[in-house]
Amino acid sequence: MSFDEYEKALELCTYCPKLCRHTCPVGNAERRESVIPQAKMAMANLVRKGQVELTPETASVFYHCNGCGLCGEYCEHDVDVTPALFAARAEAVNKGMDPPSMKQFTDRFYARNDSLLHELHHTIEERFFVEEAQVAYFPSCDTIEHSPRVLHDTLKVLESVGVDYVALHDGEYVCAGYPFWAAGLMSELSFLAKEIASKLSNYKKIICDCPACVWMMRFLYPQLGAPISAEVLHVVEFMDNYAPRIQVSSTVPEAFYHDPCYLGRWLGVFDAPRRLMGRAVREIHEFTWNRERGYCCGGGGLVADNLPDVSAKIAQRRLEEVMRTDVPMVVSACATCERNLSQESGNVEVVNLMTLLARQL
Amino acid sequence: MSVPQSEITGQLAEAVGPENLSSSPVDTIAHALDFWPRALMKSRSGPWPRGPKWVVWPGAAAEVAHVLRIASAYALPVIPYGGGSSMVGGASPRGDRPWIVINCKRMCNILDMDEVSMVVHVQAGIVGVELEERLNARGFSLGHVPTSMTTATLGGWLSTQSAGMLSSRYGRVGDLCLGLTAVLPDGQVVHTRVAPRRATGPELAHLLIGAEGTLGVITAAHLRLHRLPLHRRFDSFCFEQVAPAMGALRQSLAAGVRPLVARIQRDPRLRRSDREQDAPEPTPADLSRRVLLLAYEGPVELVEVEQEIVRDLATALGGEGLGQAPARRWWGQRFAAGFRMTPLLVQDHLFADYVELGATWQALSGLYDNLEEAFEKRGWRTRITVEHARLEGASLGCAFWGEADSAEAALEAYDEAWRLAARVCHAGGGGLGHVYGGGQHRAALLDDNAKQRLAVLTEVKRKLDPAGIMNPGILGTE
Repeated sequence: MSFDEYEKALELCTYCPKLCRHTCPVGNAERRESVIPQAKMAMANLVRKGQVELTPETASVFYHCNGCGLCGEYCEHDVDVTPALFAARAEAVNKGMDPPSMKQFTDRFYARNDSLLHELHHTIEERFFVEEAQVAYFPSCDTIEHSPRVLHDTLKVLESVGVDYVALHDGEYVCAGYPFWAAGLMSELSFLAKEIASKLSNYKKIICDCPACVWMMRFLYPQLGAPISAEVLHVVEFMDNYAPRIQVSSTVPEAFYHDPCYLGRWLGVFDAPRRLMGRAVREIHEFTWNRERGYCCGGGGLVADNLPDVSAKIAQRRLEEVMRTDVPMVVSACATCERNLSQESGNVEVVNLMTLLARQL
Repeated sequence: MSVPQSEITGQLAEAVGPENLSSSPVDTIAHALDFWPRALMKSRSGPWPRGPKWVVWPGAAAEVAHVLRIASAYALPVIPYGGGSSMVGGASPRGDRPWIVINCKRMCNILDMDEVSMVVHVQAGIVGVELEERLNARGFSLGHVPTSMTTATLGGWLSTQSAGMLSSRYGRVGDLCLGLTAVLPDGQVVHTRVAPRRATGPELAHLLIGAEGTLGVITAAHLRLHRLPLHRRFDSFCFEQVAPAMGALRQSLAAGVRPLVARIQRDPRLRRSDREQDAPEPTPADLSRRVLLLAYEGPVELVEVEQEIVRDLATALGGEGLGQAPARRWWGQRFAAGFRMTPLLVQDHLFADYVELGATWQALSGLYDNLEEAFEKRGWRTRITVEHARLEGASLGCAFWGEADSAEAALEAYDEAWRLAARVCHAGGGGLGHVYGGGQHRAALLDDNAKQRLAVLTEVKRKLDPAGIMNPGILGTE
């Protein structure tokens, strides 16, 4: 959707008494009026209406958003802030007014992709890349870079329940393009989506370890004219069918479960990860802000790249509740969450659900 | 006096640190307005109003003091800023001089908690919901739940003497405040002592509570806490008219009942969204019906006794028991009201606002009828709710909205609606500005009694703030 198509949402936010302020991880971390959801949307609206000039400085506020969508969960008008602000980013890019931190983003994206692709083939044995498989495992960039163990652990858990027909996708890309969407680089995203869709449509089923990749392929790709005929699932959704078959040799006494924004709020997957976790953990602790109202880890929306201090504060806030207890572990199902929370977790272990299951087999 | 802006910028940077000072349009635009419907309506078709020249985020009272001394030296207006959700025009001073906004949100920590005495010492920049969540985690509650819970700060509440949805039981925020730290316009930091009771002259804290930042900046407060309730129960009664509903509520309070929630509103079963698709349109009798919504909390024995007393009184006055559901439903949606005005404000030709007035029980029923009739005669829509009930009286919250031919006509109609509300209120013995404070807006609508009180306050302000820097034009003070 173009920037102007968000007129209604932008207008509603401009004239709202900021009632979702408390939900915004970035606003809470920065404590600046200009970066609460209402102010970011109002700035976008004033730019749209020509009441404020679009400059790299005014456009910079659009990038102070995790894209977590929690504000929309609280909004009585069902305003969806993330796509509107990402459209505002695209407008800034189109007018050459994106902030300096976004320059050469495309080059950096592809350089990272190539490096991670190399890393993937270095990490995983070639026998797991089978071209004619019907079910493909599409590994994500953050998993390869920050949690490569999850790749092995996922394969190990699949094997343990008798699923030996999943092969790693042997393609040119390890990211469905969320960073392009968040950067406002829509033509780059469109190109990438078409490339990936054409390659993945040969499979019957795609499983991803990144919730954002699943959401992109399932919901955004069709809007970009790149539908994927295969069923796209997060690994947790796929594994849920096999949960009763998971036989663990020991269990962990207790752990918190952190809902990744895209797996929970965006894809609506709340119970499957808890069911799987229940195979390996005797007592699952819930955050006060959980499920639909799960609080972001700070890793989304390119905030971790552009505003690392803010991202760290968000992770600290998320972990505050854990730190008040003696619970030694937080489990999640997203490599980005795992990375971001781990950086601030001190003695608390942050572990991917697949790694936890593999460890307890 | 001329304004050497770069010199001032340098001094402010020294006061709060350069990273806590901004003159960027990103920040000044965000601080240009609050949620005063009139200002928002003006901005729909006109330019976005100019904002402050400087925004500072001090981290402590000493830094606030430093900023105020700079402002006094250059006679620069200063606006203390919390959530910026005021509905009465509290965010923009009148006049042409560049001004400073002191955004208090860096001062957001709980400093101490005395669980024995049930007192918390907390900085004023904390957002309400954050404070409440932190207290809940330790088994306590402040008991202050206004619609602005998720956006306003403690300092904003104190500065406007906020009244929450639970005010019938816990009072206004000023009733919960046991002591304050504030910075006076000359930079003096004052602390009022926390003690259960004192009889050594007027309480300084109560000069600053409700002063809307015209006498200084509140930076921290000691607040009374309550233990999280053991038990909560809801009840609802339907009456043919508003008067017996008011009677039941008044008599219940007089009998010693302290409900958590007590409000009278239109029958929620008439809401378009709740009616069957083919249900007949409501009759005049349906529209006259009013529902008394109640909630109680505390030990179960106490809750049962309170509920029984109210049930007997309501039934004797013709109230039909509706059970827990309507009140429970309202509770579940208690913050939704804050969203309702926005769709009306985005359309150029519409106008809307919320008149809130207080009156004693003797006057309340007449005021209710007169206000409703006056607005309806002009074709403006209203929804009046009786809320914030106390022993001596209650508040009428009157949401109004209407349509005009143009943006200009909508503004004129808006002003006329307020003049009308003020006339009805003053003639009926009520007081305007019962909940949201005065700001720029209500100050222009005060009655003679309020003006007299204001004259005294203005004298006090002249002594405390000789340079006239603190929120000039707010509350009618210069």
